[in-house]
Amino acid sequence: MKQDLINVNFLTDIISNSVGILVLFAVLNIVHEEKKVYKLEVPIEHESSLAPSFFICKDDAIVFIDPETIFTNAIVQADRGSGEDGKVFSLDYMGIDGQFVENRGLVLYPNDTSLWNEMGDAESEVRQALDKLDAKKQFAFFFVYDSSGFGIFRQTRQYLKERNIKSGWLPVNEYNLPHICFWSNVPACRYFPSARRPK
Amino acid sequence: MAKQRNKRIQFERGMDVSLFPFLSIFLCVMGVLSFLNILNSTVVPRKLVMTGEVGQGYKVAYQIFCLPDGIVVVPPIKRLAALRQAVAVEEILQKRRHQRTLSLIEPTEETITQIFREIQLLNSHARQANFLYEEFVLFGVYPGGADVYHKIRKIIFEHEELLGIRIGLEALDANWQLTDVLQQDAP
Repeated sequence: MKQDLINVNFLTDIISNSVGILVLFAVLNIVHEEKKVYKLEVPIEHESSLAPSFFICKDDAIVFIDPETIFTNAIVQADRGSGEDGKVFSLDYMGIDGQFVENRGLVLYPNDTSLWNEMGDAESEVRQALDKLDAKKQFAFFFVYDSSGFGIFRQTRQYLKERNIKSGWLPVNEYNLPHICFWSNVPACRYFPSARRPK
Repeated sequence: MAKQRNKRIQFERGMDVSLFPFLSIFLCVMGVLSFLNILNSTVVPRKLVMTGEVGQGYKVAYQIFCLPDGIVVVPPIKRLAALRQAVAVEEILQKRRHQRTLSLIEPTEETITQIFREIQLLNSHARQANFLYEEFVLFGVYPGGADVYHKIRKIIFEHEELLGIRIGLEALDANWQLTDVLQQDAP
């Protein structure tokens, strides 16, 4: 049987040339990346008559805070006396607990995110909630956990941007928890959308 | 004798070797270098500068980056130098030039109110001189920077006179690197 044989000089030449070119590409790429400065366009917050629809982003998952369900459950718990003296109580909604705090309204404790959605699922509750937003009446407001929510928040914001829906956000963590209140004279209860440059 | 003759013939022809191991090494090296190249483009920190998504070209960003243990401020300088034509801002300009070293500072009440008052003063001077110049604040929040951001917000809320300044807020990834490029003054 005849074997494929090749001259070693010829092969060494090919290998060294190819490796040399790749090394050159790698070096050029590093030099280029070192010099490159990315411009990040940041939308500016502004006052608006639009109503906020609340979402929480944590553990690379997102949940829509249905105000009707949340507040109905919170009132039921309050009637039972569960929320008295600043106690944390279960909201029976997507693994979220609640607490009434002065000047912060209803503080939300997202404990279990296993029931929350990812943005990839087109049939998910959160996608339905996002698709239902009316650009003339509403904007999306995100409470974003600073440890694990940035990625999904940016993804969702981009999804809304493509649909001309405004959005605003607030970084949160276990010391600065998401809270919902509607007292316009309390600065912590003001939720602003961000304006984007008109195209 | 026969062995020696064969060796001599091989030497005269040039060394013939099997194609397979060389192709294997070749593809391996190519693969590894391509992988390193891709890894480099994704993992190497990205340098960034924040600009405001504002239509008007006269608005200039004062960047404040919130990190877990403090803030880094990047005040605008290049555009402020242009304001010198209309308003006496030499003192602020000199201060900012010295301050611009990307060092981590503690967001004390004094520091934050000083920054915001300085911005207000410049905006007010520019307005009075009918010079198209307005500074606004862009916050870049890094992972773990929420506490620092809330601390700043609280300070601003406690000083109502500082509330008039426009604010933008962006979530930044840990591998997005700050730059101190003087030419990169926003918008």
